[in-house]
Amino acid sequence: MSTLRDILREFRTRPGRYALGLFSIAVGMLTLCLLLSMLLGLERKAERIAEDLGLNVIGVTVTPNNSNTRGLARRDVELLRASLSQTNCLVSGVRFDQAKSMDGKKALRVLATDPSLVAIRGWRMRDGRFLDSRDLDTLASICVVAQSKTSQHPKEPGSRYALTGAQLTVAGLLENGGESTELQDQRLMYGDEFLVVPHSAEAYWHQDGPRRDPQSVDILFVRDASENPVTQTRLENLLSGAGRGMELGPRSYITLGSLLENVNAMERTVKLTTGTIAVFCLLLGGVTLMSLMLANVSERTSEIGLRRALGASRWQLYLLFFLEGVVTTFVASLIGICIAAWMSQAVQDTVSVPMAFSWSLVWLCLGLATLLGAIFSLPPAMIAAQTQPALAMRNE
Amino acid sequence: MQPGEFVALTGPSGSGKSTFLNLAAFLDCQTEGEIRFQDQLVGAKAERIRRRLRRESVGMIFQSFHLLMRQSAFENVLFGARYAPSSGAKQLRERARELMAEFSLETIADSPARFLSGGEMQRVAIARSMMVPRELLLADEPTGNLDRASAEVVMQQLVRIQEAGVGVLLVTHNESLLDYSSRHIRCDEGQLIEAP
Repeated sequence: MSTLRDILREFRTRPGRYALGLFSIAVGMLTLCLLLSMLLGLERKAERIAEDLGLNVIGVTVTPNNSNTRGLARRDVELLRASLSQTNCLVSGVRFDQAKSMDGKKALRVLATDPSLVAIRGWRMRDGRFLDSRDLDTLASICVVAQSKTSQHPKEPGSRYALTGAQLTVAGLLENGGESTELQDQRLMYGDEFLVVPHSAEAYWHQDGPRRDPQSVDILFVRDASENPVTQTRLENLLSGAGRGMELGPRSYITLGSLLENVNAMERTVKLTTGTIAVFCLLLGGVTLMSLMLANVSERTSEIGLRRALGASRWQLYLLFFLEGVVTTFVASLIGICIAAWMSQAVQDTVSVPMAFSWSLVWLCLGLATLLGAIFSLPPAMIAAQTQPALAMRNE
Repeated sequence: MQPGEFVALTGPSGSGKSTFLNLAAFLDCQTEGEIRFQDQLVGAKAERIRRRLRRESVGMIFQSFHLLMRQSAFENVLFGARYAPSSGAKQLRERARELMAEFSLETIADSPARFLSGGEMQRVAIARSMMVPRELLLADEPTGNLDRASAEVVMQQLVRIQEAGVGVLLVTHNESLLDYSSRHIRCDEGQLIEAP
C-alpha cells in the first residue's frame, strides 16, 4: 500500500511528464484496441453470415450459356433428393418471382419453394406455420410472410395479402426472415419484406410480365447435418449426371467459404496493415515508457539514495519503479480502451466497417498492457535497485 | 563513540571524512577493518543487518538536505519513517506533528520543500531524521549551505538531540562549530587523530 501511495504521490508531483507518457501509451493501446475491435467485428459478421446461410448449407445456381444447356428444374431437386435420401440431407429449390402490391407501390420478392426451405435456412416462425406438403398438393393460394419488425402494416395468420392479380392467405409469419443484410449476395438477399409460396401454385401475379415455367428453379439449397456433410464435389458429380438429354449449364456454388471470402480478405488486410501499425505503436509506447522511467530513475537518484539511507531494500526500490511503470501503462491503457470503445461505436455508426467490443477484448488489452509495462519497466527498475546508496547521496 | 556523545570530525577536503561517514551510516561497505555498533560486529556482506541499522538506529542529515522538493515539509518529515518498523499511520502523523512543533516548522508544514529557505530545509531534514528514535545521528556539513543565524539554529537543534541521549557525529570544515562538541577528531589522509 505504501508503495502505491508513493506512486500516486509521484504522479501528482510530476503531472506533465506522466501525462505525456500516458498519452503515447494510450495512443498505442487505442490503435491496438481498434484493430482487435475490427477483427472481432469481422468475426461477428462471419458468425452472422454463417447463421444467415445456415450451417453446412450449399446453394447451387445454374446459368445456361447456350442452347444445348439448360437451367435448374424441379426434377433436378427431386433427383438430388432421391440420391441423397440415405443421408441426413435436406434439399430444396427456390424460384424467385417479382410481384407488386395491389396499389402498385410496393415491389416484393416472392420465393416459390417447398417445405424443406425453412429447416435448411434455419428460419424461425414468429406466428402460424410454414408451407407443408398439402399446400403443394392442393396448389393452395397461401403465403408465408417475412416482414421486418419495423413494418408499418404487420400481417397476421389468416389475413389476406393482396397482390396485383392474386389474393393470398397468410399461413404464417417468419421471424427476422427479411432483416439480414450480412449475406450481401443478391441471390440470398430478399429485402425487408418477402413472401414464400408453394412452388406448385400458379404465379397469377405474372399477368403483366412474361410467365415463367412453374417447374423452373433458380437456386437449389442442400443442407447436410451429418458430421461429414455433402461436399461441393459430390454435388457437382450428382448434378453432372442429371442431364437426361440436355446438360445442365455451368454451376456456381454458394458456400460459407465463398460468402466469407470478402470478410476473410478484409480480415487479412486488417491483420497485416493495422496489425503492423499497432505493433509499432505498442513498441513506441513501450520505449516511451522506458525512457520516462529511465529519466525518472536518473532524476530521482538522490531520492533513491535517501530511501536506501532510510532503510529501503533493493527489492523495495525495484518494486517501486517496476510498479510505477506497470501502473502508468495500466492507466494509459484504460484511457486508450475507453476512447477505443467510444470510437468503435462512432465508426460503426458512421462508416459501414464492422466493429465490435467485448469484455474479453478489454481484458486482453489490459493484459497486454500490463505485460508491456512489466517488460519495459524492468530495466529502469533494475537500474534503480542496483544504485549504490553512497554514490546516490553524492548526486544532486 | 559513546552513547549520547557529541563528536566533531574535521579535516581537509579529500582526507576521507565523507567515506568515514558513509561507512558509519552503513551506506558503504568497508574493504578492510571492522565496524562495531552497540557491540555488534557489522560485516561488509551483512546487508540485512546494515539495512536494519539504517532503518532503526542511525540517522543522517546532509549538507544538501536531500529533501523531496515537490512534497510539503510535513510530507518530508513523515517520509523519515517510510521504511521504519510498522507503526500506525495515525501515530506516525502525530509524531511528525510533534517534530514539526519541536523544530518550529508548523507554519511551513504545507509549503512545498522547494520554497523553503536553507535553514528551514535543514530543520525539516533534522526532523525527518528523528522520525524514528535513533541512537546515532550523523551530520555531514549540516550548516555548509546556511548563513550564520540559520547555522546557529541548526546547531542548537543538534545539541538538543544530543542532550536527549542521541550520539551526534558532526562533520564540518567550520572550526567555530567545534564549541558545540564534547570531542574533536581530525581526519588526515585516511587517519583519525584525536584532537586536543
